[in-house]
Amino acid sequence: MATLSTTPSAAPTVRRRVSPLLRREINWGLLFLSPWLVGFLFFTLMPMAASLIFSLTDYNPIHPEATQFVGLTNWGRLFNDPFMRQAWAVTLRFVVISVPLSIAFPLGLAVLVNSEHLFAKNIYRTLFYMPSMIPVVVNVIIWGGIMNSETGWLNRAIEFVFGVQGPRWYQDEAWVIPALTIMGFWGVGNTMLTMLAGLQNVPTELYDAAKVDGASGWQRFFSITLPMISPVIFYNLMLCVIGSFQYFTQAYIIGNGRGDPNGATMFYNLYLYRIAFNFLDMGYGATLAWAMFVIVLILTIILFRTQNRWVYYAGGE
Amino acid sequence: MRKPITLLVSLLAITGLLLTACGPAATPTPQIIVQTAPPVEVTREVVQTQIIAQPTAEPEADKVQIYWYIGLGTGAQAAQIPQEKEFVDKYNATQGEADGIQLIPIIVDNKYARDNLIAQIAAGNAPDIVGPMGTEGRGWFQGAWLDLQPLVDKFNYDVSDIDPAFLEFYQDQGELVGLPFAIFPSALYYNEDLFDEAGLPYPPHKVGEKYLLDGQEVEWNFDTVAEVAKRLTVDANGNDATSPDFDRENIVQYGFEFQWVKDSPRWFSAYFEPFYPVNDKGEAVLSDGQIAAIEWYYNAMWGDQPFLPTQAAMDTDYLGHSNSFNSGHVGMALTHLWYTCCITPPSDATVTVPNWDVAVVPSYNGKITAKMHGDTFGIMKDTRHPDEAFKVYTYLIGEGAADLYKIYGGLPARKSQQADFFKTLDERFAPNEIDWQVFLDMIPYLEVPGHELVLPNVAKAHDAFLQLGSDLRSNPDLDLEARIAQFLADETAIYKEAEASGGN
Repeated sequence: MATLSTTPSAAPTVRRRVSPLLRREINWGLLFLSPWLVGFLFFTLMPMAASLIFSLTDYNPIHPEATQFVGLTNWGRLFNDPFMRQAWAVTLRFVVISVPLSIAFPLGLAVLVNSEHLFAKNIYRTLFYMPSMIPVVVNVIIWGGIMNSETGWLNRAIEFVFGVQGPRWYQDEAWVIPALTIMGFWGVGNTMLTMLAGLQNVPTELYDAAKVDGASGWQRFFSITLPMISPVIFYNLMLCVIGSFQYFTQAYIIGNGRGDPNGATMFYNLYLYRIAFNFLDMGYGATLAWAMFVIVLILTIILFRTQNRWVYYAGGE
Repeated sequence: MRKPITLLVSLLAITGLLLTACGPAATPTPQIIVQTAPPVEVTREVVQTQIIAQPTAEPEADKVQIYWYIGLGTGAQAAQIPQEKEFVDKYNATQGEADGIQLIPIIVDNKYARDNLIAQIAAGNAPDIVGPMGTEGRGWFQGAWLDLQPLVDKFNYDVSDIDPAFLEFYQDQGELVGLPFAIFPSALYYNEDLFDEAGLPYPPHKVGEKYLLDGQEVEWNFDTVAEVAKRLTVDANGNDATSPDFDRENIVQYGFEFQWVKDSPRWFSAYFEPFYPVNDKGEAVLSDGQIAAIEWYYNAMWGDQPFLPTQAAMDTDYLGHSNSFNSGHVGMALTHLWYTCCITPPSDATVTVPNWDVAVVPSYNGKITAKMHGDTFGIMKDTRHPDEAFKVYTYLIGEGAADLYKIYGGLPARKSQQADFFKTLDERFAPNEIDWQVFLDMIPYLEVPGHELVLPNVAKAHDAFLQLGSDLRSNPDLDLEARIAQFLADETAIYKEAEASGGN
């Protein structure tokens, strides 16, 4: 009887007594989960453990027989590696520029396609979502054409409208990160959809009441909409931050895997990849990967901690 | 106490899952989608055609699978792939139903081939045969190649037809890591129609011949090339680069290109002056000729009268995404014989340069240097079937070589096969007649020391050269002297790093 109770007083009972029915359900649940669990164990957890061991060695995949245990040498290098600092600087610059825009832009789009005044909403929703279906490599190549400083239509448009020569997007150290950010707007379809779902779950009574109280559109947006969809924003923020720290493919293609121009696209993950796979310093590469993991973990914890201050859960946490 | 630990474990798990979930987007996928890129010298340019890079054939039971990795040098161009597959099918058809060999190609774009091969070796999944590849490609995997001498002895393979100097050329740390396959001399390709349009005489086909410029005979050197190239460079209004009305922002035709040999300044500077960029103290150095080459190249793009495509120009459809000469919008291209792979033949409806020919390499300071590539195949030490791999190997450089020369545009290292090779090229480019003798005449001018000699700490050292090359192509505001000084300092540090670790 009490086994399914969730009241605090009954909690100890829950742990001790498991009914045959519940046990059977748990077993079935585990059975269905087992492919994923096995996959996680063999393809994620074990490689992670292996990389931790690599970080204590000088493992070179071409000459594995010469591998030696080097203790914490690789970890010590982290603090004296100027190229790693540069890679962090590039990554953080991208995070600072890209993350706010990657939240604000799809939120704006979601508000737009949720508007009752917009004609043919479904068409716009589809159109805004469609670029998300394009593989990232194709995306980069297409944008390479759009942003080509000599023949791209973006620069031609800039020249036509403003009468000035557009920037050398991919060749200029100052412009390549904004270029990557703009390119990223094409992939905001998923974020827009989750934002839209959040917007559609906001009870209309709240808006009605606010209107009766004389609240303006901006007041309703900031005082009702934003708090009500803050869990969705929080979720997307988490993904965005992690995704930005993991940024790789676009930079790899645009920067020729070398961080061109002049190291401006040498993101942390690209640097890690080069150390491990270009320069075959797999031990230090594994160390860099773990350093990234730890930093992202800390950021995740910080973000989780802050949610009490700004994320509103209607049913409580 | 329990709650914080549970929370921490949960956060670890969540972060791990999120990282895993976000993983695919951040994982490089060179093995799945790659793009064809130019051959032999590792280049950055992208051609739009996409190809599959994984072995496509299913292993057959009762046969020994030999995996042939193509892309470290030439071989991943879209036009070459069907021919390579046909070659493989032809070979496999010669094998018996059982106990035979099944040859399976793995074709990887040149741009990604090195990383991809490293990943395959690291995963314990190394291919058996790799190639064709140049000295540089081999150098990246020093120590990973099988010594062929024991197999040559075991199978009594006849090497009497091979110049002993070539056998010496393929020795690495006392081991024979390759047998000669093909050589690729250099020459200057030129578009006859563009020369005619500009009213310029064609470049010389014989060493020592003068060029007639403005009614005066001048030496065929890089200064002359620059002058001719400026007149071949045209803007949208039809003004050439020497005109005061020339609009450098709207160039529609370029005069000159280092076709697929310019990513690393070490490559194109070899046409000016061959030089090994390491001194006796293990420091990075560039010769005066190499620095002059870098300056010449930089001014050709960013000077007052530009005539060479920048990175942004190269990336356009208009210039064929780096296959510039074949776009029909470039007057001259200095490169190797392998570039014949990528010029559309007149029989093809999409032909863009129907009339082209080759001329001698221009001189620098009165001396011609026609850098050359010498390609071969290697068998990896990790091969599980060295005997079978060697059988395939000897087929590639022997019985099957004639077919491969057609695919790769390589001049046979064995002289007896050279006439047939040129005959095949003649048929391909008919009715256009090309003076192939120019390539043969350029062989005596090959560079010593070679521009592909392995550098200390080769991966990083090569990468620093590529960084410099990228800067030259992309940055119009470069302080060239300071940038070269920075490069030398970086490169020296890279060499010293290898010295300190006692390795390469």
